[in-house]
Amino acid sequence: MPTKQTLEDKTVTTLSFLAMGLFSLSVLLPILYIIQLTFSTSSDASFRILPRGFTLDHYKYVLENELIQRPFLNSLFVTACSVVVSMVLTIGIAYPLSRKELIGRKYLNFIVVLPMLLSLGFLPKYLLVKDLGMLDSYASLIFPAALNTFNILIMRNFLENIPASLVESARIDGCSELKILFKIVLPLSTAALATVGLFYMVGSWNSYLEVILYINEPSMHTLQVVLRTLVMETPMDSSSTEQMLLKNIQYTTIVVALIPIMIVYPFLQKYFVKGVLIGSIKG
Amino acid sequence: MLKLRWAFTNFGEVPQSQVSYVGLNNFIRLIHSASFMNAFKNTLIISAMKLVFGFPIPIIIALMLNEINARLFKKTVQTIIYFPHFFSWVVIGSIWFLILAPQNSVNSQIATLTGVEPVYWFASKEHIRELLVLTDIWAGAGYAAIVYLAAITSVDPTLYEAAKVDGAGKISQIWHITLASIRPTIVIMLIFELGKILNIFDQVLIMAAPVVYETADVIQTYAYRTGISEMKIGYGMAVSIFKAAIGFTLVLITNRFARKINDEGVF
Repeated sequence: MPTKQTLEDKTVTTLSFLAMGLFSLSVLLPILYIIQLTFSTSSDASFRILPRGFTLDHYKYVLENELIQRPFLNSLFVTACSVVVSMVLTIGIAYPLSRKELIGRKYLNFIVVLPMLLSLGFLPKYLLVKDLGMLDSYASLIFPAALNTFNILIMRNFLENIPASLVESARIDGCSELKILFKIVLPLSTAALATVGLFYMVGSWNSYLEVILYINEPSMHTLQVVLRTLVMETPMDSSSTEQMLLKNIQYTTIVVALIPIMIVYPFLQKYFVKGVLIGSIKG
Repeated sequence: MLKLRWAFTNFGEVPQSQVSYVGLNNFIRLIHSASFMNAFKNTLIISAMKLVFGFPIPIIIALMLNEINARLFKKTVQTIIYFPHFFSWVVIGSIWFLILAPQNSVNSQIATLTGVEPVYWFASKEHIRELLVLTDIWAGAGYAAIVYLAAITSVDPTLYEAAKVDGAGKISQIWHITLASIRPTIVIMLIFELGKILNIFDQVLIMAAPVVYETADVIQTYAYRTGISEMKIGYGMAVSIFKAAIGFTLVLITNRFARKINDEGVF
């Protein structure tokens, strides 16, 4: 039945348009502003979203700069290793938990969820890492944060939807357990693997606390730590040409730290809505 | 887990060989410490601000997006507002630090445009809390709306048809149908949020400089300073246990409270 749009309905719709448009702009404009500054040749930093002039010199300078190059490579290395380790461990936990025939499944599930309910913070973890002799090693950035309850739940809930009969019939046909996992279960779960993998990637790339907790050696610091020092702890009272240079380095390093996120965001966006929902419904 | 017993020792404050059990001494010192109580107070204030201002915004965003039928516009808005959720606090802090720096021309442009004296948010004791709340909303509110949007899509469309026939306007439809239907989701999210309130950490550690600790220091940053920087492990552990105990109690209380609301119905 067609109904007429009343004044009230129109007001609500218009207001929604306006408010959402404004909110999007408030999110987008600061990001665009910073990005254009990294390409701009002018020293004028007043507000605009397109660069004045165009140059890639800032990027060249930043990526060739010792102080940033090494941390950047450290971040890439740690992130790559973290994703692999995290995925292996997450599948190793989520797959058994998703199978109904697992003995004591309920209790094991509870143990997996427990850290979500009761968290003691970073200190016990720090002491453990210290006792294991892992301070000042890349391993301390990869293993302690390798598992994330939320990601395990996403993975488990997805794997639970794979029909048990499929696994059963493979077993009857004489398929080994490992072969079932690699040839049947995982190929069916590419969406979940992508979601969880990307979540781990973003998490590891963005991590800050672990690095300052476990790493004292400056040459092992990651991009996030260096970026924070560079932007928030560098005094701004040097001469104006030096200041210009410093500013450009700051802007450009921010964008460099964002590039991996920008690259994976389109892929992430395809999956995360589903991921968030699975996690929150059963979390 | 065995390390928890260190909360009852003077570990880290005396040479290793003299470490002994001090009973509840650490907890008593904690309650009498002015800087701990200050951090505790700040945690509660910042959390309360985040709850009051930050919690309803994702719900409002979801309701508004639901009213928008232009697909392309909606999709674009969603793509933009979910994006900063994936930024690190370092990146978020850096972006706003540079934009809000007193020397930055955008900052003075805004000031001349609005006629309001620019504030140096990052170094201002009075404004740091607002900054923490605002950047939290800037980065996370869009993404947090996803859960509510999904809850809204599962509302039975015939309810709206019936309401229209009865002559209900948009606002009463939103109030009586949409909001009423997603109430369980709202309550669950509220419990999650309450469970997290004492965990505020990374953001403050990254964005708050020591000059603003008077109003921005939180339990976790306090635990970090005492436990890691000053190496008073026993004392730091007591801080952690204190935090976990209160956090867990909060979750239990809100859970009970929520059950009551969901059964009897407040709307």
